[in-house]
Amino acid sequence: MDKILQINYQNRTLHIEESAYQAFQTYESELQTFFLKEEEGAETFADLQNRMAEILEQKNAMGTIMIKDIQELIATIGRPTDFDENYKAETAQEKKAPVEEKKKLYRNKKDKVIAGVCSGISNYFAIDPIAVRLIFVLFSICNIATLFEFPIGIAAYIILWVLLQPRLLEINVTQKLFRNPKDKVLGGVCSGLAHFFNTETWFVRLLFAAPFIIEALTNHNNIFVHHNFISTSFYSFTFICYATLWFIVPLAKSSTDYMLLKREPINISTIQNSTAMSKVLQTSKSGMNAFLKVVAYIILAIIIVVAVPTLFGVLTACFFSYNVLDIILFSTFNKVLGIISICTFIGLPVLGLIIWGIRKIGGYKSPHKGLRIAFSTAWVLGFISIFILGFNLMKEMNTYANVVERMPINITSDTLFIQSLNPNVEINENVVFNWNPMNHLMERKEKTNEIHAVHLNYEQSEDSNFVVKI
Amino acid sequence: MTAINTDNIQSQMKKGVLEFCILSIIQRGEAYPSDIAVELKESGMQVLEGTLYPLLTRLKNAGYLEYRWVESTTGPPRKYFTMTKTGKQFYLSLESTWKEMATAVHKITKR
Repeated sequence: MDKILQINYQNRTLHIEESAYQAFQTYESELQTFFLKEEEGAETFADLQNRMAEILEQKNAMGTIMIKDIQELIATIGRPTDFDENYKAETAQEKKAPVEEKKKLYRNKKDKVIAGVCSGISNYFAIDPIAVRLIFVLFSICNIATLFEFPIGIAAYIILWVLLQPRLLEINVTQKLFRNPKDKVLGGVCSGLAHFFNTETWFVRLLFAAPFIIEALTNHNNIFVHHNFISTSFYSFTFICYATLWFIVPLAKSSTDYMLLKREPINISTIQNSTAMSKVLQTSKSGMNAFLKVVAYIILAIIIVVAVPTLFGVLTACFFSYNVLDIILFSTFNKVLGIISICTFIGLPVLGLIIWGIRKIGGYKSPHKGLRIAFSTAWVLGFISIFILGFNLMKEMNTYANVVERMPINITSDTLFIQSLNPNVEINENVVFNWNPMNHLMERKEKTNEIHAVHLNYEQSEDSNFVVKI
Repeated sequence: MTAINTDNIQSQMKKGVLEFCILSIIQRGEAYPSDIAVELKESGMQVLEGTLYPLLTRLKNAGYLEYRWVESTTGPPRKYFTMTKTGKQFYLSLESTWKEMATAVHKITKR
């Protein structure tokens, strides 16, 4: 029994036997080389692909496509040798031709953006067209932006367009730069570059993310307030690099693209491996989604740069100003609860963001079970501790709030003078406010508590005597 | 040598007539290429879709045919072809040529 493959052909999902798929692929490429020789042929070939998709879908509806179905398809459409008796002779001639022919500069009809000039040049030197295009675009931009005179690059392009003969050129490089739809965070640029330079994907991603990470670690201030010139220029440089590559470098679409991306030799056995790609291609279709994703990532980057240092600062501040805890939380039990709560609600999000970033750069897709369990238990613990803490504090507050002491003061005169020992006393209309925020609000001495924040209210007493009410 | 010649002549005879037949089917009304192929086959004219499609593209680019996309329930959208005014004139001139030739050939072969 043959292996059954699930393929995506002309946006149709088909189930096809392995051998049938091989036969179909060779047949399709036969048609392609036949029809693309002529200018009009591209349209015909597209029509035929559409028609073949229709036929295959009808066959697919009746069950898995088998070699017999492909033979029927070939019988209705025909082979190039059936269309043209001279075809075989022509191909034989073409095969001989490149050996005798001197290498010449042509415009490439097969792989072009405007007129195939860059592609032709790259073919002549046997390098990746992207490199030539990138150099050309950068040169043209610099030319226009700096000199603002005669656009040499564009003029050269037009001249070459007129002078060079168009021709269908075969791919003569073993590797091309593509964006990788199979393994991507944003546009698959990093993954493509990693394959091109034969390094690990996470390494390239780290290079691109480095300015943002450094910023997050070093800058504890708001990024919008304190602009560090160097780091800002780094940001924009990496950002522009990524965006340019995203627009210029094509997405690996066909299995051939994939082989070139991965530097694998192109043959049927490698093409089969790429069938899993069909799913990925379908998801990568919608441009709107990609745009939203970009916006989301930019917001996230800002959050990380701003929030992580801030939260980290709060966390360290909490631990170092132990005295604050000392005042609010009297028992050691409450202190432990307080520390757990702080860790959960400030420390955990920081940790989570850091772990998420590392996993994203590393390209881990599957959720980590252990991490999930650890985080959920930590959250549960945090919630429990903050509830107990809140309850305890409420209880304590209640007991302390209800103590009222009356102390009669025996004064014979009818006027009471109040003198503060502290010279920095603010006197409002009817309130004396001793407020010293930098010192501790309360100090615990051996048997007494000394309160620094005193609030005095003048009221009329019930009788004619002066009374101090605490 | 003789065999190749026969093939060559047969295919040349077929080529001109095939275009005439295709135009004749389309001038009756809007047509889908594979339906044209089926009709030709049923009438006894063997044609491959691989030959039919390039012919249609050529006729369309010459301005004799136009097409529109029609959504299909069973598969991808289909190209339906109709004839333009110049196409109609072209067809009529072909038709008169064919009739003259057919009667001439008929007369000659019957003798």
